[in-house]
Amino acid sequence: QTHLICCFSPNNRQGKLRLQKWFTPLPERERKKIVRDMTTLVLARKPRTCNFLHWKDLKIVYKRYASLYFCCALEEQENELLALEILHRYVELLDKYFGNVCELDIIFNFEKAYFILDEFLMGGEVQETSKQSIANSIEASDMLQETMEEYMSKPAF
Amino acid sequence: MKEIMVRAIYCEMLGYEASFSYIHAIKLAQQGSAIEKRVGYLAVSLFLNESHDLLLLLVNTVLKDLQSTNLIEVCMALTVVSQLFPKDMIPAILPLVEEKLTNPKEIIRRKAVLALHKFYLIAPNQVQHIHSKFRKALCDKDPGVMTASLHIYLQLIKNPDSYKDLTGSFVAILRQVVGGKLPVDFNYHNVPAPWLQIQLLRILSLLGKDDQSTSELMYEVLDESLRRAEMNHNITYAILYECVKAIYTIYPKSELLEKAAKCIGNFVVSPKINLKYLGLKALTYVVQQDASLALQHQMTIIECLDHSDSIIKRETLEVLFRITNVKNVAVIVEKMLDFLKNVFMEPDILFLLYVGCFPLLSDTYSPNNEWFIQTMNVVFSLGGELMHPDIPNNFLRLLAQGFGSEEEEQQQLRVFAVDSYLTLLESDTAHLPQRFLQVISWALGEFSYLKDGLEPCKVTKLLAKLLDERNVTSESRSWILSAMAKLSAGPGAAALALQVSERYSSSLDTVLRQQALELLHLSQDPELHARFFHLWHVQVDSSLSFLDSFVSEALSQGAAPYKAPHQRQEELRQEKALSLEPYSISLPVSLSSCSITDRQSPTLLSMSSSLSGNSNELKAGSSTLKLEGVKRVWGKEGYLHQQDAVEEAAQVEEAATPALPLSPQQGGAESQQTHGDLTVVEQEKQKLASSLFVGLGSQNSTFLMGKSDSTSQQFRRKTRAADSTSSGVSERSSSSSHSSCSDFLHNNLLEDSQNSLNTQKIGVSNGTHEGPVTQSFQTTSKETSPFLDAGMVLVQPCSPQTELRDFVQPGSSGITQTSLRSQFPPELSQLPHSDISLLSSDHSLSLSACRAYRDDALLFVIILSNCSQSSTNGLSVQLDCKHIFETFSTLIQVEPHTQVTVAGSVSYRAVPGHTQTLQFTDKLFLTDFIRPLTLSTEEYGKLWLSFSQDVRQNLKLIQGEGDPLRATLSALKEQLQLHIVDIIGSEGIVACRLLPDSPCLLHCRIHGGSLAVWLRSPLLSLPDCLLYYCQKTLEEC
Repeated sequence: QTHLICCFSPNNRQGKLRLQKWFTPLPERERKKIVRDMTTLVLARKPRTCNFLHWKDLKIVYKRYASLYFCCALEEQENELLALEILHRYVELLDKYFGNVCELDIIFNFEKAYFILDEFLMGGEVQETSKQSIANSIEASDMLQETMEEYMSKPAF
Repeated sequence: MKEIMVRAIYCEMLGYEASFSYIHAIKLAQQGSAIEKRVGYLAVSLFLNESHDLLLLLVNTVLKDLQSTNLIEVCMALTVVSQLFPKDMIPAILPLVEEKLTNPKEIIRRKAVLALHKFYLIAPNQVQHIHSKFRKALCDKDPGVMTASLHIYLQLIKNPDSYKDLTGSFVAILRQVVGGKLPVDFNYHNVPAPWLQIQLLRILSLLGKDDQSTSELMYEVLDESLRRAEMNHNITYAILYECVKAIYTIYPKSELLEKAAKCIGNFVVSPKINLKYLGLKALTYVVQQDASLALQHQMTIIECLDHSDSIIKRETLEVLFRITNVKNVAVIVEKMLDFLKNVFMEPDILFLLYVGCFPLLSDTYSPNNEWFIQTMNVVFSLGGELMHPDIPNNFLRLLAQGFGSEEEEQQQLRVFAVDSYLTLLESDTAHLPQRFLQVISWALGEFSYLKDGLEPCKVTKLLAKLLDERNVTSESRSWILSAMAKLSAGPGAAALALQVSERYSSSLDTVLRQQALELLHLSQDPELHARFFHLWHVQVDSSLSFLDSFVSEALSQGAAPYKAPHQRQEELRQEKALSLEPYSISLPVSLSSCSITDRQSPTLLSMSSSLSGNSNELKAGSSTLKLEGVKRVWGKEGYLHQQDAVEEAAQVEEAATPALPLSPQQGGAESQQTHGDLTVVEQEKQKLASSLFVGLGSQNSTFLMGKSDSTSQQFRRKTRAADSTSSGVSERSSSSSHSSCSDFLHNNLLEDSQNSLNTQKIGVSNGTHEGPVTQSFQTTSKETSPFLDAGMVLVQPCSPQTELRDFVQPGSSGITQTSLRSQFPPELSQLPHSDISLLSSDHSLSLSACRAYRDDALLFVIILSNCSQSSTNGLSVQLDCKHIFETFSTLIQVEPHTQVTVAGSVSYRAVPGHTQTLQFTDKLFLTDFIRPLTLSTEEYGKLWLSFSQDVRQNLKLIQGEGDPLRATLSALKEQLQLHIVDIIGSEGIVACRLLPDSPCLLHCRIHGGSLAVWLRSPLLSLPDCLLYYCQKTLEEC
């Protein structure tokens, strides 16, 4: 089970968080500590080293995509390569939705990024792997949203 | 509002407090239109966690949305439910989520299954009744829903026994997936449904663990997935890794193991660093089962030890740690310490795991005491303040109590410790960590008297010097002071102690002042000192009888009698006005508390963490060369065997490839030089390898040592022990019966020995007509066994004077229930007994079991039938009796359980010289041990009053014609063998006993529409377990 997915951009050897989603309940303070430690650890890694880290009893898997780092925290016995692919698939999904995704897309539409994540993972487990069907369900919700907006903006007689 | 909420989320993410907006998020989810709802739910799921109070406000919204006709609203509600939901509120929405399992939309079914998965994780008891629906989800026509249901099964199958029958289906699914039968939608980079595959592999490995017959079903498909997964993409590597793990978990098959080992080999030597990591991880797992596998990769392991990435290094050390044995422990520990030293140069890195491993290592294999103490010294001084506090405590306990070795050795160890600590104290102590100082002072205080010719005064002086060091914390100071108090008896020491105590009796720290004063008095008065330190054994009155008068006085003054917490809880429950019905649907209260265990915080057990850029870089590229050498020359026989040949080969290899690493253009001279360096490095490595892998393979140990000594033997046995469970020989069984009368034989069991007249069981029906004899042995055993008390006895079978009786059994090749029943010994068939159930079978033998209930015992009957055409020899039955004894003694005397498992194996020779083993397991339920307890109403009343604690629960009434109370009670009587003592009006009293004779009394009353039951018993958990069965029975009626 995945505990956490987050994404941050490097900023002065300190990560600036762009997205974080927890799948296990933890007190606020603990969460902050984990994220802080994780970002510094990941940023301290040299290039050409492996994408896995140990943090206490968690395993951290990270990958850099352009200027963004995507990370997830897993339990010790999980399969790291699989987690790497989960991150990759998520980035692919973002890419499909935004069309050539960049950091700004995520900053300005981060709620969309969350919606995509919700469709992809549920309760820390992979829910749907097909790019097409995730795109479909996101689109359906967006459509509903738009029609509702239209409907609401019309004066009601 | 929506925009504002999005901004609030953003603020919260950046770490600013935005808790004022939480309530608005909930409102938005509640009242907003679809678009706002979506953002509202998102905000709620990001802001709140499961224990937050505001979540209660959300329950109603979720309920409403679950009932909505709008697909998207339902989806949103299910998503938020699976993200966070308060545990107490699950019963409220459970029916709605359950209903969604039959929704025509695939996406809703899938989300509902995942939500139930979440519920199962939070509160397994509450979803117990819908297990059948999970099966339906597994068979769903949409692969997505099926995939989702596997998440649940992976959790359920952690307890695999009841799911063995699903193995076939899982194998079939995996076969289809691997064969590419799924829609293209599920492909990920041209690999068919990798997540699904991995999930299935995990499930299969759980199912096949230690179970040969189940494992046999999956060999083929595992082989196929190994074959199909081509080495080209990360995701296939992930599948392969999972596959290898599965192969090593299930019952071993040599062919597959070989393939898997090869696969790991490819991983480990891969230039891709992530793969190398995973390969090492797999190796860590695999060497636990088969240490010799590490031999094949020894050079790679050595390479990895010097890898520039500390994560890889750490993983390598983990592999080494698993292959530790008596010969290489020194080298491995040295490597680990090296690593520790390097890592500690970067201050923010804790590396507790390894420090934690050491004592463990040293205990089992430490070559000698001196080495152990020295290693521990290094560990303590390196580990310092970061060390887990358990480690010093554990170490001190080890010093004090020893680890099971001879007293003499023990003393020796202590003397070593004292010696080395004295040396340490005499040198500079400023750099020693506080924890280490505490250890030192304790050990000196306790054991310095052991060393001959050591004046306590000298030790005290050293300690006093330590006490005055500036950087010593007050905690360590108090350790030192108490050590001094122990030593203060001697003449010189007393004077010194006086000095010290005077100084510290004016200390600002209260604890120190107190201890200084104690020290003062103890050192002044030798008699007091002697009394104080030799009065360890204080008499304790465990019955607290001295409190009796106090209790009776309090009672006479009108105090309420003491009630156990458990009882008080029950009362509170009664008083509460709220109906708690939904909570107690499925299980008695005491059982439902187990749900929290799964949900520990992921970082609760924080032991290790690491990262470092360690730069012991080898010349890049040299690795490929050497790897080639490793691969070609070293086969399975291990490396040391052919060491010389290898070196030669490596050199030839190098000479043949002058285009060494970096320097094709740098010219010959330089490459020549590198070459020279390399061979030196190479040789060093080989030396290292030989010291590291000593004792792993049999050839190696004999080659090196000239003889294989018993310790290494022991070690090897130890490594094998891991798979010995799966190899089918249950070494633990405390009793095995070998009976080989004529060609056939059988029989052995749990039986009652008191009754020498009728007993026995077991018929073998031979399929052929020429060998038609079935023998039944009458056996008795006079020996007393621990089972006697529990009403169960172990019988040693067929002593010479056993009486033989023949049943002539016409051959029946197909075994049916009826033919089995006809073989049932007549003595037993008069007793009430359960159905005969087939436990396990193979091509020539089938094994069934049945439980017969005698008044004073439970007879567990095993029936073996030969279903082949040939005769079977050398039959022996082994029951895992040690286990049974343990479980029964706890079952009956300490703590009743609802069920226990009996395991055993049958071995026989179908073909001469070839022994086959058939394993079986069966379950015994609590109800098997329940018997009616006949007593009169008066006796019942007396007994009732003699027990104090009671358990209360409401049960379902059976509504039928006639009196519901009577109907319900007689149903219970029928199913659970209870005795109805009396029924008066709307109340009934019922009694039963648990073998041998632990009574349990039930008092039932119709209350509203249900049956209120009070249970009393001298055994604490018997009522709970019984209630569970009552509920189950009534649910089924």
